[in-house]
Amino acid sequence: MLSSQQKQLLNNKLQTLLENSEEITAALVTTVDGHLCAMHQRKDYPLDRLATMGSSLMSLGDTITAELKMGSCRNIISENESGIVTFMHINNSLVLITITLQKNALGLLLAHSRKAAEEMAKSL
Amino acid sequence: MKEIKLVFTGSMGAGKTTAISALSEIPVINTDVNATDEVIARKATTTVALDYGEMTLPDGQKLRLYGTPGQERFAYMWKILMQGALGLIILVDNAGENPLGDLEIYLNHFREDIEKTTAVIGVTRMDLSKKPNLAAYNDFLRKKNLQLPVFSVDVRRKQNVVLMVQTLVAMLEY
Amino acid sequence: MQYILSTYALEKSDRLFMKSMIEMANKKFGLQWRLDDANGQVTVVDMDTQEGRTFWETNRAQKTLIAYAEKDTYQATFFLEKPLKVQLVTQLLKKLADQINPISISPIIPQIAPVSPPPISNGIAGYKPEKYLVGLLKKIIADGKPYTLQLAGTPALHVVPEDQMCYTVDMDLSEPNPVQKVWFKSTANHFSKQPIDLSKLNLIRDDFTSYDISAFLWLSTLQSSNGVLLAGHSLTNPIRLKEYPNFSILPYDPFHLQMAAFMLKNTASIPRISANIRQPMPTVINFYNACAVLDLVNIEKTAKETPEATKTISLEKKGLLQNIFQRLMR
Repeated sequence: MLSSQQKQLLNNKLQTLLENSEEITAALVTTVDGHLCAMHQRKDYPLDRLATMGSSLMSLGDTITAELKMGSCRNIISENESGIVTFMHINNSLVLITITLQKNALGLLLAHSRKAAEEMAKSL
Repeated sequence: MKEIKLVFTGSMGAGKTTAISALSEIPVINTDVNATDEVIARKATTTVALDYGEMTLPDGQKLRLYGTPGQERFAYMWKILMQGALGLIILVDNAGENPLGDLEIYLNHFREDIEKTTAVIGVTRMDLSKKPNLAAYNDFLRKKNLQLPVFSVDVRRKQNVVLMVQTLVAMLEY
Repeated sequence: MQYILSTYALEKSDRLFMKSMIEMANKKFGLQWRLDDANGQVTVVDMDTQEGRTFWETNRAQKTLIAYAEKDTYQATFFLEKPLKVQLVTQLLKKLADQINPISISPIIPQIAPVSPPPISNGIAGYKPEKYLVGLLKKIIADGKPYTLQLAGTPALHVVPEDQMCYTVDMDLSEPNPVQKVWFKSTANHFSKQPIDLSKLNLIRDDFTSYDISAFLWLSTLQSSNGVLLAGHSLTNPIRLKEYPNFSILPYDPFHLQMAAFMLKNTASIPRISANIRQPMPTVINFYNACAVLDLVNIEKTAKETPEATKTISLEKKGLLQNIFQRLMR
């Protein structure tokens, strides 16, 4: 379980992520079992449900990667008609989910998200 | 070819993964992760997407066995997994805080599927908690206007899991 | 020196008990009796049956016979009181061995047609649970006090209503052996019944294997019904299961699952259940009796039967379901 200080720290990191990257519409951190820990967004998405679904998807990603013996799952990308969602591990207990509405911003989304995830892992 | 599948659902810790393992010919694929909430007091891990096992039928077809996550916040997975299933096995942990309340959650969520197919209820860990007894479960079902088989089971015993599936099949036939 | 005993018109269970008691007598007195109905030197005749009495009258002058009855009203040289008791049987065998010469006495009992099984009830009267083990168990449950039931030559059954349990030696209720089958269908008068001293209850709980009491009620009814419908019940009344039997405790054959599923979902008479499940009527009656003894059945005197073909499934699906069922029987 995260302390309130740790949750605040994650919130701050998400805020910085959105400030540094205009393309990112929303970002959240969820536990691997689907509890929302921190979020920041420019829209009004129901992020509680997304946190739970994200944990299912990340777990499936891990299961598939293990089945194929491809090391650890770095990220899962959902490319859609009107945007992209990425899912990646921060550490063994937390998952970062980021959303962009720009269809061509995959590289940028991944790069910013990866950097944020690494920083969060270090600071926790 | 249409997928042939059965779904195991039910309360967290009731033994869905164990039940599927008892029947599956392949190592069960599961999506268990470390629990971070109140679950941790009873179980270190929890299923967040699905469990999956397989059985080969005499004609070579595969019977697919899916287990759902137990917790209600994963209910979106319940709907996904139940699509096209032959029927449902609901496992209820009798040593949980409110077993009949748990059963009600699954009956409500799956009601439409149960009416279209059928369901069998397995009550686990009755050795740890004798109440509610099976009569209470049957009364509860009657109040819900449902007549479904209810068994006290130990899912570690393959014969008990076989009994539930055979009963489900018999219920589908008649 | 060998001696041969035969029986005439004895119930199957009595014959089986006799067999085990012969073994006990042989062990105890170093005798060599064996049971062979075709070649008996001495014949035990059940005098409480018409066939037995006829046989007695016809053969008493030429053969050595033992009158087996509740009361000795036949002026028999050899009398054996009902029900069978180990002590009486062993003493009688010892006495016979002392009196008869295995070489000089060699009458051969002609091959006799076996006693025919009881007829299937026509639905008017019939099976009375109180005459069997199931009746004894029900009485003990109603009294609420623990008792030990003992059938000669078999392990004791400790019945503890407070626990809803029976305690006895290890046995596989799902596949009772022939002796156990006979035990389950034995009539109540064959069992001795002793109260259990409360101070010994914990010892019993620790030393024996526990079984749900309902499994014994169930199995005893299934085994002793013999295709005869419960007295006072009717074949034509539509019936329906109130709830599905808890087969994780109650021993079952696979077709019981199908019968129960049909009876849970349909209101139907016994002949219709038999036709739909494709099981003979006596099998359905035995199952119905056992369900009724456990209060799992609603008799719907005023309700109408569920119309035929309320549910139709494609042949393909039926085949698939049978495939799954078969696979699980491995």
